[in-house]
Amino acid sequence: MTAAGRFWRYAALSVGAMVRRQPLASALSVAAVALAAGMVLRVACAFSATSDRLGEMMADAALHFDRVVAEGAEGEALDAAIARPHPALPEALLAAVRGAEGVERCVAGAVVTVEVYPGGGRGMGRGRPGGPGGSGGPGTRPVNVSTNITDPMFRMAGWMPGEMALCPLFSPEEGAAPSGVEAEQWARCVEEGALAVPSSLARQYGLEAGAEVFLAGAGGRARVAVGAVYETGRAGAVRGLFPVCAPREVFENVAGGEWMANRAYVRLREGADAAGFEAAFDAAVAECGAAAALLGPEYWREAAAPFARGRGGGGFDAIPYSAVFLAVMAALFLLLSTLAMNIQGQRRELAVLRAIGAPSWMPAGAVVVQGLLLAAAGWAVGAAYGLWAFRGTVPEAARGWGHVVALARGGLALSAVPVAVATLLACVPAVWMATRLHPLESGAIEAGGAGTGRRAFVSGSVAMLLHPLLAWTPLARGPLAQSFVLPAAYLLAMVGAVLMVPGLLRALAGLLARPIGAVLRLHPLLLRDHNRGGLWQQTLGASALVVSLAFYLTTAIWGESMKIPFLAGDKAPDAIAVFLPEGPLAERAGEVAAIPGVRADSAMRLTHLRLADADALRGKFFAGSELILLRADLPGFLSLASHRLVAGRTGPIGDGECVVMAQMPLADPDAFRIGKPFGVYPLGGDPGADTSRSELVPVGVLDIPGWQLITKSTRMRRGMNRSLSLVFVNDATFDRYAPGVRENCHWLALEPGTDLRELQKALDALRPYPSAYVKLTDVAGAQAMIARRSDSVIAPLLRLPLMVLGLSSLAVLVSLVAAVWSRRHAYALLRALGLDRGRLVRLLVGEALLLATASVLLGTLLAVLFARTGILLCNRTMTVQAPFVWPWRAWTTGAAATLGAVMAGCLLALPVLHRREGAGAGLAGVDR
Amino acid sequence: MVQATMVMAAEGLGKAFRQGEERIAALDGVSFGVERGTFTAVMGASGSGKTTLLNLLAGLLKPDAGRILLDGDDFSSLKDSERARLRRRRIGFVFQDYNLLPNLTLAENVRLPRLLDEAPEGAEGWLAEIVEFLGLGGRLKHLPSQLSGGERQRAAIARALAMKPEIVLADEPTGNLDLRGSTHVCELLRRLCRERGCTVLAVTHAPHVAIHADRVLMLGDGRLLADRPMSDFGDAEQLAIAYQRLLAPVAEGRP
Repeated sequence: MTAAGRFWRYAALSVGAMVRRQPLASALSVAAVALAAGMVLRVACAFSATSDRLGEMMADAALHFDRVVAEGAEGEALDAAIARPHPALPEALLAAVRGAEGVERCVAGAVVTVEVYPGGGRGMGRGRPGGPGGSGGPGTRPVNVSTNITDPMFRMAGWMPGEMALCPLFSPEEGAAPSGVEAEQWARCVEEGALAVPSSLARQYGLEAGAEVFLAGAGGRARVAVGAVYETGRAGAVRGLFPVCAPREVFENVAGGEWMANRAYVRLREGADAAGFEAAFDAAVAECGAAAALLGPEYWREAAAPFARGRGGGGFDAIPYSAVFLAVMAALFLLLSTLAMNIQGQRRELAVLRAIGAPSWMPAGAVVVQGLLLAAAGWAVGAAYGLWAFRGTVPEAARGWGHVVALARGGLALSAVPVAVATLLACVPAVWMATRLHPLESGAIEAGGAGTGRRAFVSGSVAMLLHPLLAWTPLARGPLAQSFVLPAAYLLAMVGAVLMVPGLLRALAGLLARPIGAVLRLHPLLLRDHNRGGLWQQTLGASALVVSLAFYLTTAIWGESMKIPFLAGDKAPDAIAVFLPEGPLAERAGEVAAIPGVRADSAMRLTHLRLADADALRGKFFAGSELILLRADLPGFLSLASHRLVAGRTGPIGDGECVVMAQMPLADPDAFRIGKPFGVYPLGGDPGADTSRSELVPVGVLDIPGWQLITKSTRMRRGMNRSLSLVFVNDATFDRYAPGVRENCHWLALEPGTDLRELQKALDALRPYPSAYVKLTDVAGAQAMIARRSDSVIAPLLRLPLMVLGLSSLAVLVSLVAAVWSRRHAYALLRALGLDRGRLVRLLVGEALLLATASVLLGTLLAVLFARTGILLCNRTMTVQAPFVWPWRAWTTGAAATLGAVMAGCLLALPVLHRREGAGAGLAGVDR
Repeated sequence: MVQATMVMAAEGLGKAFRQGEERIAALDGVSFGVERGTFTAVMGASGSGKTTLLNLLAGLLKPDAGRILLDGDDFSSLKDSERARLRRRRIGFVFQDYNLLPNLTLAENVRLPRLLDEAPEGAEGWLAEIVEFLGLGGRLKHLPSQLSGGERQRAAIARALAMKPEIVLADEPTGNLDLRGSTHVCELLRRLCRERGCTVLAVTHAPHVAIHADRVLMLGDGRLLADRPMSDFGDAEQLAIAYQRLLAPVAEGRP
């Protein structure tokens, strides 16, 4: 027989021996690899496939047109506010576009943003009433139909059942049908004064022709019939692309202003010179002196980019990838444990082989073959599971968006890569163990050595200390931070924690052996001694647990902490009333405070500004370039909800001065400082406003928890646009930007038990004209909804880490069985010396307690480091101030799961000791 | 019939093991008694059932047939915890391969049986005495890996004596020692019987060890071939001749 033949024969025998000797460990390894491979397919590949598809779809989101001409230098019309239509695109520009070479079709129209919610009639059903104050009047409360949010437009907007949707309202020029709507259908809509709604919105609300919807815009609220549902084909996720289409009269009523073309859709002929068209457009813009932008494929690509893989989730995307990574790590630990247990069981055979001259590559090769076979079996099962899970869930979810999502080619092969890498990594230490056996090796247990773990503990502590040094300091802000510094900091902390395990186990054994021994009625020396044996196996198991527990706790801490900036807490007004489009007439403005049930009213004038130099906001997730400008009686406002200035002076605000939110200095501490002016432009085209750039000087900094979402719910923001700050100014400064705006925003403190419906009626009575719209928001109700939404986001995020924790339990189980197996001689000796089974169980329980304590301590420490780093990063990128919140419930769950896993592992190891008959049968030299 | 004065006795002991489909009888109908304060040697070839007999006597295994009496009471039918308690308090066990725990010092290894008991502390005087008696006084803080083979064997004996047992069961106590070392250990066991009143039952296949005993039991193929006082054999040479003569038919497969 050739050398290769001899090797394969030996490898086959060794694989057979492994399966015979370690059936449980082998099965669990296969299961772990299967789960890891399945997760790679289900989570990573599916996630990539869907996000890639979504990215592609959004990049192609101009539907039937190639270019969109939008009013405003940066195409602001696409992020239109609930406001009157913007200034029109000049006729000359539209004519130039229509006449440009290569243009096949050009449809001009007007767009504004409106609120839309179902209004009853045919097609309604399965609804439930919304919260108080949500709609704007008795009998017109928003009724939501679908509780299954499948449309990404709504999902990405954070839309929840019970909320109304913000939607573009589009009205095309005379004689033209909106894109996607049949000409005959549109003619009927015009004739009947009905709407054409996109299929994505119709699906969400269960609308069909004949149903009615409410539209609320700057001109007030209107109840309009649905005349047609037009198919978008794709769901359309970019804001402003798939509008509700309204005839001109309806549009003008809702928008509160005359129709004017502020957008034009352009389709180019096939093979047309796109660059030539763009050049012609630029020339026309220059000639007209108009502020207009041409949005093309680049714009859509840019709009799609945040949603593409790894960039859109504000940290959320990292969670499934982390789960996959940890599942692969758990599989690695299990494979290593199984291989190590097998080597442990074959020590004598391997030593004999070495003694009779077998080359060291022979056992090494056999170990690799064992590992690869286990991995291949696991991968085969996992691939089948992953494909089944993928096909069963992802395309189904994608169908809601009108998509076909298929697993990317090579997905299966891709799932094999991490499995193969993990297997080879697991084989390295196993090969080392198999080849380092001395030919004179006996089956006796080795002494751990007094220094075992001490050096590793010190190295691990240093590695862990390096994490905050790297991640919590300015080092994490440099250009290399994302690519190198932060990954290195995370890796260092993880490696450090693993290195600390043996030393911590020993230290804990020294510290806790006495109390645990007292409880379990065992001599401390027994616990101390037993913790010295099987240390590396215990380390493997504990490491898997430490990392998984840390992952679980990090997610929980991060989730709980990041909720805080979005919850107003106790320091919030009871209700907020916003008059759209304008406040009560001047002589009635004071009547809001006199409404029964209103204890205090902070009446404000509200408009919007745009930050002039927005470069500082690049990469800031929650920071928009818009500012919510408020003229308020600041002391009255502060006392209404117990707010206070966190910096600056509390005296009256002078002309050109302002008080800003704490988040604004956070956006760039150098750019936004007290006393340092910043530039702004007005928004909205209010007649008489000074439209040139001007400056405001911050004199105070205020912090109102949850202001972002409060302003969103109450429509204090412009549409879905994100705001950087509330900016409080005096009357004179406000008048510079919006002289005609009355007191249209009221923060209210209410008497306990105030009926919000009655309050709504009283506020409606103050409208300047009947179609005006008062949006009354119950802050407590909105907060509860935000809290529910946060919880609904966090709960599924915690499921993956819990799954990984469960998988790690398998690793622990196998590792502990391996640890007990490696010390079976010692246990057998104790049994022979008179240790009864009860005490043996107590001894194992004691060891489990020590191991669980070490795992929980290190897991918690690692989670604190990771979570704090995550919160710091998110605070920086989201421009919020999230505190560090300790999730006691999650910690208790995690600690209990850890203890349970370790305990189960130790107790399941008992049968290993009893597998062979007799208490002393495990002792060397025992034969018949 | 086993006499009532015996400290330990076996009555018709039988034990078999399974190896795949095959059932192998390790012991078959073995009966004998051991008097208090005596040194009994159990001789037999490899595979004759010596270790199985010792494990049965220590309560580490349960017999398939027969019973073991300890002071006239049936020891083998007791529950595991009761057998463990008796083993802890009345029986000392010396293993062939010493089986010292590698992470414990010699002193800790010797104290180990006391640590397993409900009231482990105390008896320091006794432990010091046996350590001195066995000549290990200067090695108490050493790990097993730092001791010679003889010292490890004596440490194993010291551990067996830690609970002041009435009975010491020794499995090939000199198996890993040279002639001088094994003679020293045998003399120690002899002294234990004489000076401490211990009952010693040692498994060996070496005649030069067995001649230190008061009685010799000879096992062959799981059966008791002889149970005679040592005085019947005279010296080691005659014992070896008798041993070979008794084992020859067994080795040839004759009954």
